Amino acid sequence: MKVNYKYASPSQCTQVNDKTTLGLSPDLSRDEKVSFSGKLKHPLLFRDAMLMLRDIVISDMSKKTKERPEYFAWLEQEIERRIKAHKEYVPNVRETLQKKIDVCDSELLLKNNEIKRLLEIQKNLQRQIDQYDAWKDYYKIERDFWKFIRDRDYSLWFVLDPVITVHKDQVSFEAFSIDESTYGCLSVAMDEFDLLQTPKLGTTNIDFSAKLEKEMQRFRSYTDVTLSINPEGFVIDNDIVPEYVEKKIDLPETWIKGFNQVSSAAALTGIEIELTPSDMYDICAFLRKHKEKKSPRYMKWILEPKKRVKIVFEPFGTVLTLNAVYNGSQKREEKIWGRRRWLVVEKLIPLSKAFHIRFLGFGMPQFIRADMGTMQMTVGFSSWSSNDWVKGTAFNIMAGFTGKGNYNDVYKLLKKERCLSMDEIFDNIKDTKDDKIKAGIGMLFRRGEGYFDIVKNKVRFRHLCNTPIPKELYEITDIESEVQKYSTLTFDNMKVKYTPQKEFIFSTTYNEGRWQQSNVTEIVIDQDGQITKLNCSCQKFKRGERNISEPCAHILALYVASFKLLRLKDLEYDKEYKINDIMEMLL
Amino acid sequence: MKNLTLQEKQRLWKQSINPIRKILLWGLDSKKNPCLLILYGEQKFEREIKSSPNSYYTEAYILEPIVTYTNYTIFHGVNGHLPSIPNTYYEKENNVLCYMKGYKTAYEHWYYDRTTGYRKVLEIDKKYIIKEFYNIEKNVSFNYYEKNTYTDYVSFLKSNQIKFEDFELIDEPSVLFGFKPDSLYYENVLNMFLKERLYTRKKCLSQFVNMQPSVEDYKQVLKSASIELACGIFQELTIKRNPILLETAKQIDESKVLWAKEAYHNGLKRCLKQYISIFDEKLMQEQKDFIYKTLPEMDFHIKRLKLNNKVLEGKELEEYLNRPYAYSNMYYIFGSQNLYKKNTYTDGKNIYNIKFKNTIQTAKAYKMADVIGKIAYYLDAPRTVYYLRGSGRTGAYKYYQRYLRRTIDRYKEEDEEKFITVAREMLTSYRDNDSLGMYSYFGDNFFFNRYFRNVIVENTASDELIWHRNINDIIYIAKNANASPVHEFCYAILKKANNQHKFDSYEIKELIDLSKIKYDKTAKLFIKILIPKLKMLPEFDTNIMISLMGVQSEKLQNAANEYFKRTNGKFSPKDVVDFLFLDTIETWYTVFENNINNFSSQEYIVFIKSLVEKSEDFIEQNIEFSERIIDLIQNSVEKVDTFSIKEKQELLHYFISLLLSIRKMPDFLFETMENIIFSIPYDLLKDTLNDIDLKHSRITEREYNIVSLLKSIKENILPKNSVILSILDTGSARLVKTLTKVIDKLQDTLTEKNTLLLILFECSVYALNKIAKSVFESMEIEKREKFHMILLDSPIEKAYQYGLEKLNDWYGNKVPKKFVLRMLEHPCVDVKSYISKKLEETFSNLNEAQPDLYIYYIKTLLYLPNRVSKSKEYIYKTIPEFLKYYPEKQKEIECILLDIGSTSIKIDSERALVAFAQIQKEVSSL
Repeated sequence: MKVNYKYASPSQCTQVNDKTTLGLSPDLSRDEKVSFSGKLKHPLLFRDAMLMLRDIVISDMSKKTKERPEYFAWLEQEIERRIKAHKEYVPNVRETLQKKIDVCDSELLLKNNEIKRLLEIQKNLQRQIDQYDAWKDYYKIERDFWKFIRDRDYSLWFVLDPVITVHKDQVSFEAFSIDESTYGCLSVAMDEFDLLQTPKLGTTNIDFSAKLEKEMQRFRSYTDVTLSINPEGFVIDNDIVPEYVEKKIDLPETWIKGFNQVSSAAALTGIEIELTPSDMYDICAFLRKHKEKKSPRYMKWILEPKKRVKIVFEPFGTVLTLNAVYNGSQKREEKIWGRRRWLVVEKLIPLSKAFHIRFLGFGMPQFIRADMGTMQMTVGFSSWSSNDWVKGTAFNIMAGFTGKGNYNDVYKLLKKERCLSMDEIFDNIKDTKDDKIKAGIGMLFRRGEGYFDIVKNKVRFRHLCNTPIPKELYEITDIESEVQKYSTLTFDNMKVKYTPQKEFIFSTTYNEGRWQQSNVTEIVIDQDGQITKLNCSCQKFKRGERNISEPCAHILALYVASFKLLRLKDLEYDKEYKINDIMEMLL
Repeated sequence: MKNLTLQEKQRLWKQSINPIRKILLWGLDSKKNPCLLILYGEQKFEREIKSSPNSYYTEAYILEPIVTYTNYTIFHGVNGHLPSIPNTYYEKENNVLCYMKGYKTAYEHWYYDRTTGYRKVLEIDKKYIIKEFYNIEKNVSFNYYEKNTYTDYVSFLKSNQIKFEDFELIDEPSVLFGFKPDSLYYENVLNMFLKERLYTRKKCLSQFVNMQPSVEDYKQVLKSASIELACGIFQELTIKRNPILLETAKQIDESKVLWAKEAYHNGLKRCLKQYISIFDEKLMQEQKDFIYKTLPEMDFHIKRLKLNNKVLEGKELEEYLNRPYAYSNMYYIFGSQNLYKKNTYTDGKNIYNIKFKNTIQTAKAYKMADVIGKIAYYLDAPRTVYYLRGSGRTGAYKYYQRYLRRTIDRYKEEDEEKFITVAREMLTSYRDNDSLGMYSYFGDNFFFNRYFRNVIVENTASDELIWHRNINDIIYIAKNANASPVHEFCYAILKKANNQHKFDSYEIKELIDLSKIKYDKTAKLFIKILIPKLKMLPEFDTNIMISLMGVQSEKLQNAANEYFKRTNGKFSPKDVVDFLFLDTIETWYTVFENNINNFSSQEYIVFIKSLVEKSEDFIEQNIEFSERIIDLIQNSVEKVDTFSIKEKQELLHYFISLLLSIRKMPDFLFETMENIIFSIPYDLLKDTLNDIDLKHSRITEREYNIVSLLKSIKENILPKNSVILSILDTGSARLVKTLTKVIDKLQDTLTEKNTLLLILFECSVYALNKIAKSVFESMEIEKREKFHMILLDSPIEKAYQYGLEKLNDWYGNKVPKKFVLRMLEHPCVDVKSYISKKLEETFSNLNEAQPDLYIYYIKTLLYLPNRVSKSKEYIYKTIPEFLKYYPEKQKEIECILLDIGSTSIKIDSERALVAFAQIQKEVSSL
C-alpha cells in the first residue's frame, strides 16, 4: 500500500537554557489537524518509555526470507555486466591460449623434456583466464548483499513512523515492529502533563527520526520538557524558505494487516497474570543467559490454580518458578513461541510497578502491560511470526471477526465519542443484536480505524493511515469463508498419531455432500507448532504448489482445529487415536 | 456434371440444404402505412448428381425450377415510411422465422433419434423470433428461373384471391414512390427499394445519386423511404459534399415525426448531423476537434484484469499482456469484466458500438485520413480484435473492418496523398507487442497484411511504385516506427530506393539523422552512404561532430573519431556543455575529459558560466549523469587554483550574485558552485567579500548555509549553531573544511559558547573534535567544570567517554559530587556503571543525593538482567549509607531488595538479601 506523508518541517528537539521542547511534526495529509502542547511531569519516565518504543520498531526476530527485489535487480545487472566482460575478454585469451597449447602439444611430441615447462606456461595462462571469471568476486558480492540487507533494514526505522493519537484522557504512541510481530502502545495520561493549550483531538503519524531519538536522550529531571505537536512545523530561522518533508512509503500489506490484528486482539478475553518486576527480571535474565540452538524453542507456562506460576524453557527443560500466583480456576498450560521478543520489555523493569500478562490462547497474540503509574506501556506479540500464510486466516476465524456487522453505526458513534467501552457501545446502538455490533467493531479494527485499549478496556477511535486502506486488507477472503465452513466438518473424521520424533500427525476426511468427492487431508506438526509436512487430495491443492506456500482451505481448517489438541500428553507412539478417544482423554 | 444441359447447369446446387427463396412486395396496412411483404418458399431437389452411379457421396443437386411459397411475413412501416429490409432466416425444421442475428447467436445442439439418427437442433433466442409469420393457405408457385416482374406477382396473388393479414397489395409501385414506369429513375428507384441484397441496393443508390436527380426527385424518394435508404442517401451526399438536400435535411432533423422506432430514427439523425455539419465550418471543426480529442480513447488498453482470483494492474498487467498470445488466452474474459477505464467509447466493460461507428463514419465523411489510419491500427491490434470477437461482437468487427477496408481501398485508387497519410499513421502506431509477426487464427493485423506485408513476404518493393513516389514519407515512417515488421517494410523499400541512387543528394546532417534509425539494417544502409561522404569532408564542423557523437553505432563513432583527429577538431567551451545533453556522453568521456583538462582559465570560466545558463534545461529534461561525469566536473574545480586573483574574484562575484538570486540548479552544479567558492583561499575570499553585499531574501537552507558561512568569513564571527549543525549534517566536504577553518580562526570565542562546543564534541569531524578538546582543556577551572557536566550529559558515546576519561585524569578517585549527581540520570549504562564505582569514594555521606533520583538510579542498574554485575556490587554497598540520611525511604528500598531477593538468579538474590539484612541490622542498632 502506497502512503504519502507530508510534514511541515522535520521533528526536532530544541533546548533553551533549562527548557527542552520535543517538537513533533504531524502528517499534514490527514483530515484531522492534531495539536498538543504540555509540560511533562516525569521526563525520565517518558524518555525511557519512548526509547523502548523505538526498540520495538527496530526489533527484528524474523528470518531474513523477505524478497529483496532491489538487490536482485542489482545482482542481475551485476551478473550481466560480468558475463559481458567475460564474453568480451575471454574469447581472445582463449584463442591465444589455444594457439599456445597447440604449439606446446606439437613440441611435446618432439621434446619430451620440455613437457613440464610447457605445462607451467599453460597453468599461467589459465590463471589469466581466471582473472576474467565472472564468479571470481562471489564472496565480495555476498558481503555486499549482507551489507545491503543491514542498510535496508536500518532504513526501515525511518520509514515506519509511529502513530500518535491525542485522546480526551490520554496521549498514545503506537508502533509496530518491522518484522511484523511486536506491537507497542505507550499511553500517557493527561495527568502527566501541565497543559499549555487546549489539545485538538485526532491521530497522526509523526516524523520520528533517529536523530530525534538521540535528542530525547538528553531529557533530564532538572530540565522542563514540553511535548509539542504543531501542524505548522518548527522553523528556527525566518530567512530560510520552509521546505515540506515528504515521504513516499510503500507499506507492506502484511505490516498493516498485522498492526490492525494485534492492536485489536486486545479486545479478546483471555487469562491474565500479574508479574512483579523481579519475575520479569528472572525471565529476561534467563533469556539473556541461554541461547537455544535447536528445537523446541518455546516456553511453557504451567498455570495451576492458587499456585506459583512455573515456566519450562525448552529445549533446556529448565523450570523457573515465579513469585506470581495464578488465580484461575482450571489448570492450564500455555506454550509461547518467539520468546526472545520478550527481551524488549527489559528496559521497563526498573520503571514498572507490575507487569500484566494476557494470554489469549494457542495461536493468538499475547500482551504484556507495564504499569508505570501515569504511563502504561502495552506490548503485544503476534503468535504466528513465521507462518505468514496462516496469520490472517487463523486470526480472523478464531477471533470471530467475520462479516461487516453494523460497521457504519459503530464508526459514526466512535468518531463522535472517541472512546467507549463495549457495554457503552451496546447501549448506544439500540435495536441491534450484540453479535452484529461486535462484528461491526471487528470491522472497525480491521480497517485500522480503532484499537482496543487494554488498560481501560475501551475501544478507541484512531485512523492508522491517512488514506482508507484497500479492501483486500480488511475484507474476509474467500479462503477464510471456506475455512469457516470446513471448520465444522473437521472433527467428524479426525485422527491423531504421535511419532517417536515427537511430531503430531493429524488427518481427517471432509465429506461435503453426497455428490461431492470427499477429500483426505493430513498435516504433520512439530514441537514448535510448525507444519513440517502437508497433503490434501483436493483439486485446488494438487493444482497449486503442493507445499506450505499454497495451502487449501482443508489444510487451514485442519490446522486451526489441530492446535487445540497439541496439548495432548502421554500418547503412545504411532498409535492412531480417533476423535472419540481424544475427547475422552481431554475430558 | 459434364453432361448437364445449360438449363440444368443453371439449376445446379452444391449444398446439401435446400435454398429458401424470397419474394419482396409492397402494400398498405389498415392504418394506410406502407408495408413490406416477404414470401418464403423452399426450392426442392429434383435429383442428385454423383461422380459415378456407384458413388456413395452426392456431389451436387439439380433444383426443381418451380418454387412453392408456403409462408409469408409482413413488416409494417411508420408514418408513411417503409420499413428497412430486414435480414431474416427461415428455419424450416420448426417453421420459424427469425432475424439473422437470432440464427447466428442461436444455441446449437445435436439430437439423436433412432429413426433419423443425429439431428441438429437450434435454440433461437425468443427476442429474435418474428411473430408475424404465417402460412399461405393456397398454392403459390413460381418458376424461379423466369424473370417475373412485380406486377406479375401481384396479378397472380390477386387473381388467386390470396389474402394476407392486415395487408393489401399495391398494384403498381409508382403508387408508392411517385415515379411513373416511363420515368428515367423508375428502374433504379425500384431496385433501391426492392432488391434483397444490401450491396445491390447500395449500388443502385449510387447510380441514382450519380444521375443528379432534382430536389423534388429526392423528396419523392424520401417521402416513403425507409430509414436505411434515407441514411444511404445522406451518407452518399456527405461524401460527395453535395448540398442539394441541405434544407430538407434540416427540416427532417428538426421534425419530431419518427420514421421508425426511436433507436433506428436516431441513426438517421446521426447521418443528418454529419451531412448538415459538413457545410458548416464551425460545426465541422467542432466535430473534428472532438474526434481528435477522443481518438486515443478508441484504443482499448486493458487497465485491470482479474485472472485466477488475482487482480493484475500496472506493471504486472503490462508484463502479462506483453506475453505472446496473451489476448487469445483470455478470449473468454472479454465482455465479462471491467477491463477498461470509462471514456467516450466504453463503459468500462463494453464498447459503445454506435459511438465507435459514428466516429468512423464521420471520419470518412470529413475525409480525415489520419483518423482512418489510426482507427485501422486500433482494429488491427490484438486487444481490439480479441475484445470484439471474444465478447460476441464479431459482426461489428467485420463491419468496421469492411468499412475501413473499402475507404482505404478507395483512397489507394483515387487519392494517393490520403492513402499515404493513412499508411503513415498506421505504420508509426504499431508496436512490437501487437503480434505483427505471429500467426493468428482470428486474423488480427488484417490491414497490415492487406497493404504492407506483401512488400516483406513477397519482396514486391520494386513493383509497388506508390512507395517510391513518396520516399520521404517512408523515411518518416522508418524514423518513427516502433515495430520490427514495419522497419522491415521500410528497409525493403529504402534499399530499393538506394539502388536507384535516390539518397545520393542527401546532406551529411540528414544522413546522420537517418543513421539514428532504431532498426539496425536501415541504420547501416545510411551509415554506408554517410561514411564515404564524411571522409571527403576537408574541415572540422562542430555541428556535424556533435551530431555524429549522438549516434549509437560503433562504426560511426569510430568514423567520427577519425574525422575529429584528421581535421584537428577542437570544441568551444559552449560546445562541451552541449555534450552533456548527448545520450552517448559516456562513450565520449575521454573527449569530454581532454577538452576540460585543456581549457585555459578564460575558457574554463566560459564553460562554467555556460553550464549555469543551461541549468534550467538540465532540470527540465531531468538529465542525470554517471558518477564519473559528476566527479570530472567537480574535480575540474582544481583548475581554479591556477587562476589569477582577478579571475578568481570574477568567478566569486558571479557565483555569489547567482547564489543570492533565486535560481534553481541541479545538485551537481550547486556542489560545483560551492566547491568553486570555497576553493578560493581564505584571505582572498575575505578580502573579496568586503566589496560584496550579502543581503538576501528567503532562500533555501542549503543556500542559506553558504551565505551564512560567507558572512562569518566577512565579519569574522561564528555562524549560528543551527547553521553549523546543518552544515555538519548535509554540507559538502569543502563546506565543512571551510567551516573548520572559520572555527579554528575564531576558537578563542568558543569558551563562552557551551552549546556550540558540545556540537563540536559530538560531530564526526575529527578536526573539530580536536579544536573542541583543546578549547575545553584550556578553559578556566570554573567554566571547565560547568561544561564538563554538560559534556557528561551527552548521549553521544565518544563525547561522554571523553568526559569520563577526563574525570579520571583530573580527579582520579575523588570525583566531585556534583558530577556524580548529574550522571545519575544518564540514559547510558556505561555512565551509570562508571559512577557506581565512584559512589562510595566520592560520597563520604549521601546526604546530598536526591532520594528519588538515587532510587531511580539504583533500580535502572539493579534490574538490568545479566549485566554490570560488578557495578551492582558497588551499589549494594552504598544502600545502607543512603538510608542513614533518608530513613523514610527504607520501606521502598526494602521492597526493591526483597523483590530482587526473590529472583532465581542466585548472585543477585544473595546480594540483595545480604544488603537487606545489613539494613535491618544497622537500622535496628540505630
